[in-house]
Amino acid sequence: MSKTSFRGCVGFMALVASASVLVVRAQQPVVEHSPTAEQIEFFEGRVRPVLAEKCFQCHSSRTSTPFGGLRLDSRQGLLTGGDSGPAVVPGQSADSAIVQRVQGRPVLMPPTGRLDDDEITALIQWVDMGVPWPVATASDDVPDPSAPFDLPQRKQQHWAWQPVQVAEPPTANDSSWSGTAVDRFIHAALEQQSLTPAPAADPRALIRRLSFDLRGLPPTPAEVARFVSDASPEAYVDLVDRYLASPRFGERWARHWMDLFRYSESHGSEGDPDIPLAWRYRDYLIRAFNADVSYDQLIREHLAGDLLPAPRLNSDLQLNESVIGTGHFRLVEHGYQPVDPWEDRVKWTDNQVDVVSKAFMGLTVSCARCHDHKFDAISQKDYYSLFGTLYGARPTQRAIDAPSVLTKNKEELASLKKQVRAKLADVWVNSTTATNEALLEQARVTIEPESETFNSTGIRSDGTLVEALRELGQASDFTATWNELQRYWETEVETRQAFNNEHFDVAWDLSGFDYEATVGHGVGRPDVPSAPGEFSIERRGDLLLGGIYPGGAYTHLLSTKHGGVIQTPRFQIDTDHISLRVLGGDLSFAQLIIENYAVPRGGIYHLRYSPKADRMTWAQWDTTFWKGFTAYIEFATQEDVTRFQFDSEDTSLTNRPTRRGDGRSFIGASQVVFHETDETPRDTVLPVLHMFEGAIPTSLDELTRQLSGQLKGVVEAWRDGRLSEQQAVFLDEFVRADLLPRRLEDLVGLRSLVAEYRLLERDVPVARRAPGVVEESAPDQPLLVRGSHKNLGDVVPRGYLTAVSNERYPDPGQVRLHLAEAVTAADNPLTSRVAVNRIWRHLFGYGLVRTVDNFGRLGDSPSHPELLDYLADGFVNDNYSVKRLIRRLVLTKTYQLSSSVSPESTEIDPLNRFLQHANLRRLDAEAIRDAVLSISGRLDTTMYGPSVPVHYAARRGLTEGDPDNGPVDGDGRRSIYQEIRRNAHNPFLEVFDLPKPATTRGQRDATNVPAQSLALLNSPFVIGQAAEWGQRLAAGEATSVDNRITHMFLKALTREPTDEELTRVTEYVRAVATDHETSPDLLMYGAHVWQDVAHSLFNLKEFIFIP
Amino acid sequence: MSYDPTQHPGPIPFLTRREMLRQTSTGFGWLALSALMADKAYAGVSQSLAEGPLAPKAPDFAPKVKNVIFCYMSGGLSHIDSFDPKPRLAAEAGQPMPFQTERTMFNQDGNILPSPWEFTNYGQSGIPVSALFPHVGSIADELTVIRSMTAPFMEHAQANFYFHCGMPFTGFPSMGAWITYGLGSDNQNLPGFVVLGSGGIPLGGVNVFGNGFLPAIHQGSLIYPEHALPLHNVQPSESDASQRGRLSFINDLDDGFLEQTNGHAQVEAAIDNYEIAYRMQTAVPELVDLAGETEATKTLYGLDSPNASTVAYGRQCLVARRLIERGVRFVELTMVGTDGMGQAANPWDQHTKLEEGHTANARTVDQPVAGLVKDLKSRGLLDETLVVFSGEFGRTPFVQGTNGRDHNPMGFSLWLAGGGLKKGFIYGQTDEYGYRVVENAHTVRDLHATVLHLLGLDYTELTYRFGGRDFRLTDVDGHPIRGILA
Repeated sequence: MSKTSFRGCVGFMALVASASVLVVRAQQPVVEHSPTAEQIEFFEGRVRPVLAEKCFQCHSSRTSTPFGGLRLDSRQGLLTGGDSGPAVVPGQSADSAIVQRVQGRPVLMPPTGRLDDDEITALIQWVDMGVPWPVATASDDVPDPSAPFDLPQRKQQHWAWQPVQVAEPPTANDSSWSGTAVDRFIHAALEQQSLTPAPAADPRALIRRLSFDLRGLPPTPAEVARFVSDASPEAYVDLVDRYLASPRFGERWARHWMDLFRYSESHGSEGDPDIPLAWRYRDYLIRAFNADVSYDQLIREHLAGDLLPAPRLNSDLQLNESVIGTGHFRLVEHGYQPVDPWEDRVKWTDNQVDVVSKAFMGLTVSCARCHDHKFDAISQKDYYSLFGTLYGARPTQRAIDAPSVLTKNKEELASLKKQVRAKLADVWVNSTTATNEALLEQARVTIEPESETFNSTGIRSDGTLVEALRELGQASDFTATWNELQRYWETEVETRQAFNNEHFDVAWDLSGFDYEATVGHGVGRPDVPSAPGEFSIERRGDLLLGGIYPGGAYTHLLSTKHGGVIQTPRFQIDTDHISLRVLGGDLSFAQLIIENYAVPRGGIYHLRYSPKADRMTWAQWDTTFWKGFTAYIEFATQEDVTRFQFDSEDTSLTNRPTRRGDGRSFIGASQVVFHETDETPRDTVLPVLHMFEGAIPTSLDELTRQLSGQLKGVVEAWRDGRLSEQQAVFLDEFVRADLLPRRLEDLVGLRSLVAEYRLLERDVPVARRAPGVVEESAPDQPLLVRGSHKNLGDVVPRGYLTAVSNERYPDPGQVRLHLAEAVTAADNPLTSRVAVNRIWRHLFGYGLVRTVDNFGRLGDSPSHPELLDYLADGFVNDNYSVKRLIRRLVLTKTYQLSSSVSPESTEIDPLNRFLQHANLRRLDAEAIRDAVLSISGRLDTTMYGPSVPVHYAARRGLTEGDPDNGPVDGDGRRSIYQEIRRNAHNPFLEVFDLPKPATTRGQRDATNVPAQSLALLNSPFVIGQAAEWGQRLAAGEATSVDNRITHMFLKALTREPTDEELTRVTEYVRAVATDHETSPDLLMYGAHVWQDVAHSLFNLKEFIFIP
Repeated sequence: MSYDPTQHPGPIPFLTRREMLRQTSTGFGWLALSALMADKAYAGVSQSLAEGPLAPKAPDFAPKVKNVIFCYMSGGLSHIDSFDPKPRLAAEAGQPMPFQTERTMFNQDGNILPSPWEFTNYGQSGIPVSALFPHVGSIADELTVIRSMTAPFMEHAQANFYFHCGMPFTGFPSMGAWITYGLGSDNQNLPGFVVLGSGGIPLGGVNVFGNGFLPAIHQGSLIYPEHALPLHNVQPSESDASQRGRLSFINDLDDGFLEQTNGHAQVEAAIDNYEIAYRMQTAVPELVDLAGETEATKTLYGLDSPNASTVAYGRQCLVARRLIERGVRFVELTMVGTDGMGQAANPWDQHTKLEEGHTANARTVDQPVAGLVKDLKSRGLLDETLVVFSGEFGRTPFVQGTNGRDHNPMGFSLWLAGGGLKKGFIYGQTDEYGYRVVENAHTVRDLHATVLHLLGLDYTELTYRFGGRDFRLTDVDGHPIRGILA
């Protein structure tokens, strides 16, 4: 980068700065201004340095109140002038105030001392030239950012918004270039520039290029031999097809895609917590590219894979692929337990908007977060339309199995359970007579003085029947005690009711209509809440069931392997406390999720509760600190918990959660209440109340008989599914107190049914999970004034960019589906152009639009606009097949050109925009590492699965000897399977420009730094692989030194050595052999010798550069 | 015309530097030449020849300083216990804060906690420094203390990113990266932006020293002054003779490839990198080898301290001086944990046991950093160097729990020493409780603008286009703190 080019960008930046910092002035008519390159050079070389050094300190955007209101850091500033009028009159230096001032009229400027004479002369010359000032952008006619925002006008003025127009490919005068439409476009442009295309690439160069482009690996010697012996067009087509069909293809092209979605397996910031199972998204991409899933389908799955009415199912793996596509929304960076989680949310939602808009539309929509876009037809409202559209996507873990897997045996289990219930009801109805005796027995149990009947506050505890019977059983005067009890409980229930009414607002009754408003997913999540009376069949042991549940929403009514997520609607926290009535076990969680913050944290942040009982209890959170923020409450089974934690008590594994147990977990909930008091609601539905419903008994015996009779009616109601809440607690007490049989030893008639049920239940698979989202049906969101999360403006209807589509999305719940439709609409001019341009870039080194992530005004203009549109149109008509597009492109003559540059090309088109020759390219990081492994013989082509940990990364004080440290050779797995963590980069890949996972990166750097040389010379990875190769060679067939060298060249460089090289390598081999004291007759077996040769070959520039 | 990474430097049609070198070296051989260039007598030649991405570039205007040493007090040094005395805290000890305070990180806010340390007015300037920093007190007349810093972020990682990169998250270049991008470095055998890594990496991880969207050459390179392997991959696995044989072999074969590509600039640059890499293998170990330093110098830096963490930090300070002597542009020191091993990411973060923790941390840095300033001054280097001493935020005047302080980004202090500044000078003011800034409030972006300004860089013009926008370190709202400029 030269200093001149670096300085050139200044004008633009000054404009940007001025727009945000400066006092707005009345618009002046813009003086015509089209400087030549020479004039700009003059300005940059002679004038700007003077202005910068001598004037800007007082007269520029660096001070918010420039002296005299005058700014000299933009042309407009000079023209507009300050308090004393314009600073320049273009073309008239004598009348220009700036020239007068530097000559001391009426005062001398700058006040620090007179300018040198040649500086004054330059200033005069420059004004007389017409005040040339650079317009520093790739596109022409960049709008003045201070002009009023006019979206239709901006749309009209910029090529990228215009419809794709299909032109007939030009006819090539040279018949050898008429083969493909692409070649005809390219050749016509070359002819227009009077450029002669380079000759075709040598077959070896071609196969090497093709192999790396399509598979990211070097061709094998066998492939090379075969192709070189027959480099006919048919052989080439055959090669292309074989490479496209190789599983390695997906591993190569998925990684390109991952660059667009800032793929990472951790959230960064303090602690760098895991994004659990992020690798599922990587595997999904590899499968998708190998299966050539159409590009528009990938977009739909990325934007709304969870909402598609007909998701794409993978029949081999029994997966719902579509739902995994939304995983990219989860790959955001999170702050560490942010004190202002709303601010954090605005940041990561902004990142989602940024990534989605860059990746699919090639636009910097995120620039419009604080103001209308400075240059493009994107309003600030557009930004918040998109922001709102993505806002409702809550982070979650999704089950990704095909529905048929998830619902395996579900119907059968439901039907069996129905039978169990009916039979059990029969048994119970028949055993109610026996119950009478059992009740009397209970009444005979003596209450200990220190019994649990009275708790510390003097209130009788649970209101169970058994307690009451025992009290009555001991009573000297039955009627008196009975009356006392009745009085006590009537008063007590009234008091409790009053207390509850006074202190608690029921936010959601999840056993009733409120349930409809919840959000969630998972096969265990019920469609409707259960009426009172549900139960769960124990999966093993003698107990058939634990008890009878009250009304509520439960995930495990058929199996504890059914995962489920139930989330409340979003609400603003405005009470000191929240309580929930919940049951569950096996690390299920109820959690308060504030502003969708999806990272496990401790302390005040982590308001959560892990129920450990099969009966409802109240849990309570202190929410004082979070008043004012929005949140929702999640009830979820272990592996579906959004903020997964290994164990609530174990904080050492906070950031690296792993699954525990056998995948079973369950949760149920019935109520959420908001309150200020630090108590929880008191139960008012109690079994004992049943006692007072019948006729007034006069003896214990009469009472128990009466209760037995009631029980019979209750069981019948249960059997018929018309149990009330009061009856449910009554029945539950009988069951849990074993007053009704619930053991299989006592339920002979149910044994085979239950056994069958348990067998089927055992066969229910545990779902696989991946990071994803669930839609909350949020309303439209407000615009943030000047992008500030603290300054909420008017609500903006959700929708897409108005420059492309005016449709708004009023119906909640489906907004991302609408967005997916808009992005993939056939008449969307951006999507297909951006897509084909990205694919072109990976095959030719640069896009037809070189700024692959920016098709806006500040981006590059297409070098071949008609070709771009031709390809975009063809791509759409070819059902967005990526593989077929790649095939079309690599079969062109253009792709097969050699990289030899003609002198004319250097002269006319030094950047090779017209593709006179192939661009020389450096292999990217993964290809270098994978090539080393492939050549050494260490490459393990195992696909998919959890990533290999990073070797010796500075993660949590990791040292080389740490058992958590990854293997030096990454287990020989391809680079795409190496772990990507935000805070611990793979040192080898990083040095070769693996992008940091922050935002869309469609064009990687290919830097040239000494650290790369050091890595190839000295890194344990390269040395280890050289040793690996050396050992394989030494253990292999001992032919001759020449043959071995030739073999090594073929493997590493895809070619044989020249005679001259052979001589030089042989000389080197001898020298190295001497170093290692290897005798000539043992030379072929000297692993160290061949390791040295291998090591040196890895260090050749030809190894990492593809001509 | 801005720098555009999509425009590659195509083949160069005229005689390349490399060909020129080869021709003018009259067959002397590439390695012989590089060996020659490694010789100090030829250092100037070697550097002017290197036209790499780190080649020195002229500043925009006359600079006040050439290099920066950044002592980062990770975790948040308490300003009211170090450089911003608040007598009122003692007067109102144990009483509630008299006004509404902002939300804190841990929400365990108690009453006013006075500083456990006495303050002394030092030097002619009379700058008050607490008993935590007697050595720093002894250089008070060299210091420019700013008591009116603010940062908009309450938690470490965001504040660390903000302090380093001007943005609260990853993806943006660190200050050192921007500076080497703007100025290059005067030494091509060492990285231009060095982080001395014997301390802990601040929360947020190595990305706080990252290059963001700038070319990777600009990212901070971690050099471990005490490590057998001070820089990643810098240790050859073979003898010098073997490596020379290897390099000569590689070079011979590379020549053919370079020719085949018509002397492509990228290939040529990659070849040249082996020359630099080769020299780095010597330059780095030589850099961290302190054998040539006098005992007096070592004592000045506290290397004879019985306290392991003082020795570790002292070694960083001394190596920092050696780095800037060698022309390295930007050096950042990492805060060493009290055990001297220094893996702690944020040693100054005393949410509990303020007295114990701050005492130990101050003992770690006080003598070394004061020794650094004195040593720079005695060698005439202080005028061309800027030393920055700061944490990511300050701490609350009220207690957290029973004996700690929570984070306070609404007002905190830092000090600078070096060229172009008003010396022995205090600037800005917080309220009587040290809670909020009441005079001359400045953001960290203003500090960034100040640093660039002192280096002779126009902070509005140091830009890089990425993702459709021109970015700069100070974004659109940082401005130099003119009140401290001499």
